[in-house]
Parts: sequence; C-alpha cells; structure tokens
Amino acid sequence: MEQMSEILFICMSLPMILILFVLPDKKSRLFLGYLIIGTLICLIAGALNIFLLGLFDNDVNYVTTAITPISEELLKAIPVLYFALVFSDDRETLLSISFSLGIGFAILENAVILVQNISSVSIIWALARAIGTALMHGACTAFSGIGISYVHKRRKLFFCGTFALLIAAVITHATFNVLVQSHFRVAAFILPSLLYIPFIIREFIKRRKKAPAHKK
Amino acid sequence: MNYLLFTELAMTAAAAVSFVYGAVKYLRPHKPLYASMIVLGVGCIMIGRAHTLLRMISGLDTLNLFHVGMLGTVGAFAFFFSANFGQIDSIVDGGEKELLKYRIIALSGLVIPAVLYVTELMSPDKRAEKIANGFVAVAVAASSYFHVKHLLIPDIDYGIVRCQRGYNALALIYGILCMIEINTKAYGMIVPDIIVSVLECAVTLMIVPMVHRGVLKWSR
Repeated sequence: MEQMSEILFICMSLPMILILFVLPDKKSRLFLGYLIIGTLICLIAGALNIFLLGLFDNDVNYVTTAITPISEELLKAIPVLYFALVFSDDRETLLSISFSLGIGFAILENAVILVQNISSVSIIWALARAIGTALMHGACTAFSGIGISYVHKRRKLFFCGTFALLIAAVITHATFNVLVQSHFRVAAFILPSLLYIPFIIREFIKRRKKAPAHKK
Repeated sequence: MNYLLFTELAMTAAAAVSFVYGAVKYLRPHKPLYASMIVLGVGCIMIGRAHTLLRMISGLDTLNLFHVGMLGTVGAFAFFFSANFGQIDSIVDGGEKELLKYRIIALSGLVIPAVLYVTELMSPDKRAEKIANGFVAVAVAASSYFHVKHLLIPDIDYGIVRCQRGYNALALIYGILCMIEINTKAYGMIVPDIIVSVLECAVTLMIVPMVHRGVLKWSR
C-alpha cells in the first residue's frame, strides 16, 4: 500500500494521456493536459507533505492547516506561470488552465483519501469532497492565474499582484482545511460554492451578452 | 470567553462590511483597478481575520506559533503596495531630480514598522512567530513608503494622488496599528490590545469609503 498514490496516479492519468493524442481540438488538448499536470502536481505535493510532516513532528492538524496550503498553492502556480511565460498570457486561457489544474489536483487527492478511508466513506462523503475540494482547488489556482496574466503586460503589477493573490489563495485553502477538520464541516463545502457561483453567473451573463453579436 | 475571540470577531465583521461595500462598488468590469486592488486588500484582511477566528473557535492555537491568518495582513499590504507602486506611482514620479526630497522623506515610513518589529524581536515570543511577524513588518514597511510618499508628493499634473491622500493616511495608520497589535500580543498587554483592535476596526471600516471618495473627486 506504500505506493498507493503512484498507483492511483498511473491508473488515472495514463488513460488521459492516451486520449490526449487523439483529441483533434488544440484547446481540449490544452485543458486535458493541464488536468493531467494537476494530478502530477498532487503526486509531488503528497511526497513533499510527508517530508513536511516529518519536520513538524507528525502534527497532521498543524501541518495541514498552516504549512501544506502554502506548499500546495506554490506548486500549483508553477505550471500556470510556465504557460504564461512561454506560450500565452491571455487571461481567459490562463483562468481555464488554472481551473483544470486545480480540478486535476483534487481528483487525485480525493482518490488517495478515498483509498485511505475506504471503510468509512459514503455517497454524501463523495458528493461533499467532489464538489468542495474540487471547487476549492480550482478557485485557489485561478486566483494565482489572474495575477500571472499580467506577466508580460505589466511587470510591476505581476510581481506584487501575484504574490498578494497567492496569499489570498493560501488563506482560502487553509480556511477550507480548518473547516474540514472542525465541527463546521458543512461550511467547508459551502465556502467553495460561494466562490464558484458568482463566477459562473458572471460568465453566463458575459456569454449571453456576446451571443447576439455572433448571430449577426 | 476569551477577549481575543471578541476582538477577532469585531475585526472580521468590520473588514467584511468594508469589503462587501467595496466589492459592490468596484469588483466589476470598467472600474478603476487601483480601487479594486484596495478592496481586494481589505478582502485579504477579512479572510485572514476570519481564518484566525475559525482557528480559535475550532480550539486550535493562534498564539506563539505561525498560522496562515497572519498572512492576511501581509496580503492586504501586498495589495496596497501593488496599487500604489504598480498603478499610480509612475504617474506622479517620473524620476525627476526635484522629487528626490519626497523620496527621501518617504523613507521615514519604514522607520516606525522597523522600530516596532525590533521591540517585538525582544519579546518572549517564539522564533517561528517572530519570523512570520517579520514578513508582516516587511509588507507594512514597503507599503508605508508609498503611503508617506503619496501623502507628500505634489501632484500638479493629474491630481489623482492628491484625491487619495485620505486613503493613504488611513492605510499608513492601519499598518502602524498592525505593528502595535503584534507587540501588544507579544507582551500580553490586554487593555492596549483591545484599544488597538477597536482602532483597527474603525480604520478598516473607513478605508474603502475613503477610496470611494477619492475616486469620485478625481472623476468629477
């Protein structure tokens, strides 16, 4: 069972890698690619978390609420920054790939936790984790993506803005982790929805405004 | 019940009110990015305080160790710094020699956070907390430089910075209050801590309306 994370990673990402070469659309390949990178980042973060746990005398409560949100958010921001530096700093694309990366991270994390707690999981657990964790990781990575989109346009804003947004992401992530371990577990799964729903409404309104222009 | 819980609750509520007001006004398309960034800074104060409050309610430690709630202040001042340095500063300061004296005077903004951090270093706090507070001090000091500069610099051509002097004064005061709060907590001074928290609540409540007033002035 020691290599369970690696086994799960192979089982999940290998089929996705195979379909990556079949997809005809460049955008779909990009989003799926970043989903796979998200699972890879989760695997790396898992190894790093074990190391960090050792540094803090295996205090799981403290490490998961104060240390791992920092390391995980930093790790998730790296591939987004790489994309912005090398390929494109288009905000819409960056937001989409950051969200994909966050979701990929959450998929593997959920699978690992599922295997570790196989005897106590339920449908409610699955729904709560699938919605709560996925949205939280997606939204937090998207925070960094907004700042990173300034990488070529405005350097001054990029450095301090990304740092500030990264901090906002770390605090949101840590708050989620504290809520999950507290008596207010239900709130942990409402918090990410509060971030997601306004975003979806905004996107919906934006698309509706754009739609008549396309028809013409 | 612990007084810290009440002060943290009050500060979370004050920041939440200020943030919601600012979000309604500025977190929309075609609004000045400068004001949006300040609103996000207040949002950082809110989530940082809320995190600390939640740790307290959940029975987790908040004193004598590093926790993520402390980063709320760092994030807030990173946003304030970013708004002034990344958005506005180049408009009023193109590197002219005549403005050198304002740049030098603005360095005084670094002094108070530095002195207050040194006093915290001499406290019985644990090393991890001192290091974390060091990040807060750096963020406050960096931001204070621009707050002092934008309070003094003559903004003849555009008048944008002149309109935001009220905000810059409040942000400077908030930074100093944060540094005093670190000290009151480090030395276990209950009454000064409550007074500082009340003042922080008042300043947090006033920051966004003050920015809004400035925006209205310059767009008039």
